[in-house]
Amino acid sequence: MTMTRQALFALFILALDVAYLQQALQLPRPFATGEPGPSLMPMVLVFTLGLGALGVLVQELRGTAVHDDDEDANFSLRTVALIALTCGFAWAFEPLGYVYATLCYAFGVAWLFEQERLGPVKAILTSVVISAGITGVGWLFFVTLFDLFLPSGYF
Amino acid sequence: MFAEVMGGFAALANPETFLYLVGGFLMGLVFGAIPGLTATLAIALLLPFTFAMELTNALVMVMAIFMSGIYAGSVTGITVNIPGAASGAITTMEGYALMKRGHGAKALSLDALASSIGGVLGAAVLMFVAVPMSEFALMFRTPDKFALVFMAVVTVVIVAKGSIWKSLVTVSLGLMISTIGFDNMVAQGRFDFGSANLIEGVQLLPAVIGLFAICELLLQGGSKARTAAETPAFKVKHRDFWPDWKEVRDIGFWTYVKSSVIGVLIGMLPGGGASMASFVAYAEAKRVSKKPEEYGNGSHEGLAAAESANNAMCGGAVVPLLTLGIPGDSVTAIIFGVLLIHGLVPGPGLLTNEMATIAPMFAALMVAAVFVFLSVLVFGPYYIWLARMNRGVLYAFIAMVAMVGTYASTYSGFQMWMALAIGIFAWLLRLMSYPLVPMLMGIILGPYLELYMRRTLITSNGDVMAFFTNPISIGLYLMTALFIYFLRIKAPKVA
Repeated sequence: MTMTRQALFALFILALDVAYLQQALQLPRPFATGEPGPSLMPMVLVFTLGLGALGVLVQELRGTAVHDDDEDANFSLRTVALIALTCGFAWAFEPLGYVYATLCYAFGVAWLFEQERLGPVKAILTSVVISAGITGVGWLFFVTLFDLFLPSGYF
Repeated sequence: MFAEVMGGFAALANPETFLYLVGGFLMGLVFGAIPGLTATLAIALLLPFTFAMELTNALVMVMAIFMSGIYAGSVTGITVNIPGAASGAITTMEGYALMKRGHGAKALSLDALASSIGGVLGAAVLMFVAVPMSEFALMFRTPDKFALVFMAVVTVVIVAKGSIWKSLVTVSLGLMISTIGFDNMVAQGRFDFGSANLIEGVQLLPAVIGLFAICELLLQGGSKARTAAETPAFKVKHRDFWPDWKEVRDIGFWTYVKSSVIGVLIGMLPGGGASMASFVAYAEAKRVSKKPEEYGNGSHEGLAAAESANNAMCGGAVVPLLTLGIPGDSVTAIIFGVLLIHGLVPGPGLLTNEMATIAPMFAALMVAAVFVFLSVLVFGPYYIWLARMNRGVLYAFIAMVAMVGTYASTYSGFQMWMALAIGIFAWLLRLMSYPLVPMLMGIILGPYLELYMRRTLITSNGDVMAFFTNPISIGLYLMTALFIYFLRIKAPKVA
């Protein structure tokens, strides 16, 4: 019986289930006023999520789980960098405004993919061109074509 | 009804609407063909723009993406043995075998013809079946509606690829997300942690963008670029893509029709999807074939059966969405969102009250199916480029549209964070091989499941037998049991 990453993730899901249950218990109890109330569905869901997570956990611990791993799904530093970049973009979007924030974000994303093909230095130039193009196309679509509001920054 | 359907075709004659149709078709073609990208992602990215679009244009564009995206899933499968989507897996097996023998153009041509035939038949069935089914659905009472949504949720769990426990986890997570925010029956906030943003609940847009766009971006971050050797040159001329009519006759009209009917029926099944449609039609074609030994080695019949079913599924999948308010898969789930954004509630009353508004959808599906065949004649020689598209441009564009689109359609920085959080969580789930479609279905169907459950219990004073007293409810529960038996316990096998 070994604790695989799948088993650990099932435990994480169970922890989420417990947190959800803790919140659900703060709602009025089902049928307390004669009606099902707002906590009935959450209680049912606590049961179904727990059942699913326990099913995964038991299969993993017994070694009976059949893994059909997604071939595209791998962990990499580039993914971490993409998460960091996207967090930065969400944080800077309103203060910096669409143009500057998108230029930086598109540059970062493009560079992360382009450096694989061109190397880190050559990728800088192509990424600058890509980010300028994408920022322009984005403005064209969102503002010019569809008349949607985009922030222009605090500065 | 006939006049309204014809009115749908007439709406496509508007140059602006027609342009949206062509734009959607090309967008679906590109997204469907590029490995890793899907029609679902294309429609998810389009969702923010639909806020500013006229409803007819939005619906027409979405339908065109749906049809061409499903078809294009097989294009790079045939040319480079990498299906653009899971639904192209069977076609890839047969088509790439033909490609290796130097018959790539023929395979693409047969593929497009079969997709067109399937797509047109699927759209025709949609036109004939939708209104009568919608009128029947008007008879549904609250316990029946609960049974229907319950059937959809259960079916989505059992048909998802891989572990049923994992499907149960993700559908439960989706349903839990749907409970966040203000309760829809009593004045009570739930799971909002006192946040003014969370009290409104999780909106569909950031959920869709997170589940399909952000998650895909992060997954692609972990995958390597394909080398030139994996995407070899493919030199052919336009005229090579005209189908050989003798081969079409050998495949037989009946193969196309039967596979299309299978596709439509599976499309109507919640969670059915293109993969299952092509899989079942292929298995059936092989079972009755006079040349079963050719299957797996470049069978024209097998390729035609899989592709007809694939695209016929599109028409079928729209039927439960429009008539019952039940989206059958991720694409129709997002179409559900497009309708809601424009104030239309999918369900029994939609076609009886808004047929004229919805009719262009039907017409767009049929015209897009015809475009599929025309597209291979025009773009066939260039399909190889799709597998070689620059990843820097592609993913920077997807990242920008996903995040900026979320902001532009909600005017809220918080919703950008919500999309990102859901995307990261979805990425973790994909890393652990959990299916995401049940989660989206849970988010969409959750409010309805809860509403009908509570209404039934309120009107019956808490008597749970109220769920099992109407003939329609009982019929739906029996269908659910049958689906469990045929789709999980006695699932069809290709080999």
